[in-house]
Amino acid sequence: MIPTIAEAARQFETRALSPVELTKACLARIEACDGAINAFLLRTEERALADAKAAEQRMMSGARRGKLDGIPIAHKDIYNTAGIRTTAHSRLLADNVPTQDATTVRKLAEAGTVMLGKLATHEFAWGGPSFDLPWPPARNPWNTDHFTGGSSSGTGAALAAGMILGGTGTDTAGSIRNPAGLCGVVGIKPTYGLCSRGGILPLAHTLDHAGPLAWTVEDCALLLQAMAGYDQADPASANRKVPDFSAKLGAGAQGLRVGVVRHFHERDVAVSDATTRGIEETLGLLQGLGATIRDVTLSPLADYNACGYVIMSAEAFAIHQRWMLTVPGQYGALLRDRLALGGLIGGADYVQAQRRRRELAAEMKAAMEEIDILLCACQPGEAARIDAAPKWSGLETEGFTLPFNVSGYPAISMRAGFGTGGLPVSVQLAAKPFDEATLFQIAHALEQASDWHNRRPSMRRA
Amino acid sequence: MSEGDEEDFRSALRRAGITVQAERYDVMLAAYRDFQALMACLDEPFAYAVEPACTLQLLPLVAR
Amino acid sequence: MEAISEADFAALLRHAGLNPAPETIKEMHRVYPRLAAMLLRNRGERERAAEPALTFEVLP
Repeated sequence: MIPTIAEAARQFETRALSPVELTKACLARIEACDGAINAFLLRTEERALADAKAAEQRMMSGARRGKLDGIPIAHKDIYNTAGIRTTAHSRLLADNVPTQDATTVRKLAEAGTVMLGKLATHEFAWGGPSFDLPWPPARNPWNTDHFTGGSSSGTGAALAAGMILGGTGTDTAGSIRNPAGLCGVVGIKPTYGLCSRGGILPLAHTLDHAGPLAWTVEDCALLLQAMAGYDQADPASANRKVPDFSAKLGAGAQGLRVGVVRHFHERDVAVSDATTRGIEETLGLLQGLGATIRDVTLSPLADYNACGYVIMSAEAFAIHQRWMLTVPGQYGALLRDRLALGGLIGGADYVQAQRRRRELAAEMKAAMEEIDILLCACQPGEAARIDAAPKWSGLETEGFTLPFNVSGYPAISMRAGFGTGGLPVSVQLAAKPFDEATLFQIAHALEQASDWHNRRPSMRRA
Repeated sequence: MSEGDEEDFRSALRRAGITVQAERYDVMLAAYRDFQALMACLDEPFAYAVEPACTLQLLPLVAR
Repeated sequence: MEAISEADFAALLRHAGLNPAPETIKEMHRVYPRLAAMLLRNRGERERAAEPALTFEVLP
């Protein structure tokens, strides 16, 4: 069994495990499992073993860099990696080899992590699951006939399958939280501006966030610690001191004020019984931990969705305009059609959406004045079958994750039980801007109070 | 710009809900064509990840 | 927002420089009312001077 990052770090400390042994175990797991999961677009075995040996030498010489030193991870394939192919899971970049690492890739490498390879995504972080691309879509380790959620699909799948200990994702409308929730792992979309997007291929500039996924809340905190920080290469980067995200782990939830946005899942969008049960059980756990619970009302989910979807579509089309006009056939059909609709959004429509966005963000700020944490659904239910994932998902149903891309507030998705099909269901928690430490505090308390994280997929096919 | 773009111009007007007075129609159509040429000037070969000048500023929304 | 005909929709696509296959136009035209509803929803009612969430920085 592959350990968590925190467990591996402790085992490195006592020399019960070495980075090379752990890396070899991950590579063996990838070799054994990934034929059915398709999480990796590219494995970098030689690089991984070199990274692991270097980490091991640092440990032997007393120069260990911290808890991430020697930890095997992998990157979503829209993070630029110097000298290593970065494709965005698209034919258009099939031969693209960047000359520089993304800022966050560099920071994670400097923390001593071991790079196992590049992970599947939806095409340019929006088009998936697609079957007309050079690589197949990732599959859900809990049931390989099912979708992983996306777009950080390979990261969610590789974590759930125990192939990596941590990984990177990006989140424009839920692309970290959805695969985390549907694959039964933990994923955090940090505050807008906390993690640099420098060197990450964009989907929509004002909605894109970079962040980590991992098996546990503590592991996410460790990864985010390395990823966060100001970067001149990202014009939206926040020039603030990075706090200790693990500082409040273990502090429980006593006295924390939690607001539940019930209307999101009770009125705005229908959810499964398992999701409702997961939300109620989570609230019960929080009450047991001494948190206070109250209901919070925001604008309907449709308002957040309209605002976010229009901005995302317009910005994405602007980014892809040249290729859409010159080589549209190079895209998979799903992304091409979604992008094309973005081409129909007028300048005034875009500005109206950005005006609405300020109102919605102000509304969320006001709603959080007397609470510490918002809690709401993350997905309607378990992952759909991979051949039944809706093409026009953002248009035909509203997502629960987009409100926090619209506002820029930090949000984490975590397990909340299992559905009738045996796949995970999840909840979403959000905090005030730059208060990730409190988000980790409450999520960690919840994780410790439940046993959902002790269950691993058996890698079955229905 | 081809003559066929007049249909697109009319369609764009209908879509935007704008009525152009008959005596202004020819002037507006010509302006539309100029505008299309102007837009084409913006179509520089940007590197894929080039950011726009506007950024979302979250900080004014944060209590300091 | 008024319903848009398939011909107008195709013209809009051309206006954006796009020429999808006829069956794709048909499919996109089918879902377009949902996007149009979003555009309408975003218009809302607000002060004429209400600022967008974006700001322009002179010295980024």
